Amino acid sequence: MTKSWALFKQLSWPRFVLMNWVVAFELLMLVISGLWQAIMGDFHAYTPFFTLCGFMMIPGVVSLVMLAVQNERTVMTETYRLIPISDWKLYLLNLGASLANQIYLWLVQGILFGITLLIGYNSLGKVFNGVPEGLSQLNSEVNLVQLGLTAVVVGIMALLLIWSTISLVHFVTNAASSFLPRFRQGVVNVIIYIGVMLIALRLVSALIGGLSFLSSQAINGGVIDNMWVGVAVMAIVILAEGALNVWILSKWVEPKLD
Amino acid sequence: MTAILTIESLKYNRNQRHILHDVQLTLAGGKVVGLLGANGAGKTTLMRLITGSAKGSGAITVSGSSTPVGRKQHVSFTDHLKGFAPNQKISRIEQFYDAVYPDFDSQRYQELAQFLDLDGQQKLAALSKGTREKLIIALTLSRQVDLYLLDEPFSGIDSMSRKKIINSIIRWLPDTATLLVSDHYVSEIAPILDEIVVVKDQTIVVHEETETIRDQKHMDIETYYEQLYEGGTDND
Repeated sequence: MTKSWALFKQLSWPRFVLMNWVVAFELLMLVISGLWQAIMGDFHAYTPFFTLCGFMMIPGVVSLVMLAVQNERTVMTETYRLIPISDWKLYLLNLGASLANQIYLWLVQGILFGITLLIGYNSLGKVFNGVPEGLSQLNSEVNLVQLGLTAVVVGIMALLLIWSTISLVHFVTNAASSFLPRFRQGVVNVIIYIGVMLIALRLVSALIGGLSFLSSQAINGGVIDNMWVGVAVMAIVILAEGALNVWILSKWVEPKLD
Repeated sequence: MTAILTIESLKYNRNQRHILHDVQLTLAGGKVVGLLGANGAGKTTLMRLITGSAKGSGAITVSGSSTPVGRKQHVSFTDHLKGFAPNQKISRIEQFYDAVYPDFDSQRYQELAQFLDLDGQQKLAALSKGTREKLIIALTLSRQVDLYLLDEPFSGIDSMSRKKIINSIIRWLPDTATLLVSDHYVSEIAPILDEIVVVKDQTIVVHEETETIRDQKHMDIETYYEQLYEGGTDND
């Protein structure tokens, strides 16, 4: 039987390479943007910080999509499906490898954020001096460490929820296709995709609405504990989707031939 | 001799079509078996069912294991390496196999790689079809298992190399292991075959020893196969 750690490392390596490409791209954009502003005579010590803040969302979204593609590709190729390991372990290790690499990217971005902040610290001093006052006006009881920790946990849960929902849509479509005559597959796949995506969108919008409400509660009312209710709800959905995914995977989802 | 592979009442449908039905097969250890059939007869599907990649109904047992995970421990199947990036080096793919298959024999791989002229520094995308097939053969045979499934392993390999590999293939197998090989070069693989299994009309119609065909039916394997195989349907 294949050792889980050995497979985890093999699943992580190509994702790690991808994440480093994303970081390299981000740094390149930072350099190009900085050079452009220097040419225009508008470069200041705080420029890299604000440029990074402007770009930060892009690597986040790109990496999320790239890792989702990796997740689906892994379970659809014989390279991984021939490995003597149970389907539930493969599913968990696959998701775990993506999560570990997404967290790695967040850490690298956090370090870049810190470095650019240090570079422009003196120039940014005036702006940041006002921040604690602003926060204290919002709510003197807010624990920033707890808030940050909760945000990270919510981020991780949201990632897992997105990836497991994508897998669910993919697996349901794949399983349904195997039962249908070839000539009807295209039409039915479109219907299934639209149906499952509508459900997923409703779920996500309800989730975002709920989280926004809880966030405002946390900041304005000092009720950070309410955030954990949202986290618990997401955890239940992830577990339910995971169980369903593994069941469909082991019963009907076959790796692609080509 | 102990049975390595046992298949009972195997059935496989896909897209409302019967691909295989009522498949019964028992293979003993230490044999080289040719899996013959026209294009689309269901040979690849049968191999995928044995590994657990395809989901059918019926019972498949390999070396006493009937669960898909258990069977995968005893079966080495030709993976077409679709899970690797095109810029992946051969040496990196070997490392992957070494890490995920506890039965992977690195020393055997090195011997096979030398025999097949594989360069570890070459990237997957740079390989010709034939060299890629050689790599797949080397990786498949480097595992130490009871059952080897080679699905058309010689397509794209030049005739000289093909003959060289076919003539030496037995020496890379453990003594008690069985090799099930499907190929269109029937006349070329015939000399190494102990048995043939023919897939036709969605099931196994013949499972015969090659010696019996030659001695009792006084036919070579290719002629026997061609006479037998007429009017099959495309099911793969």
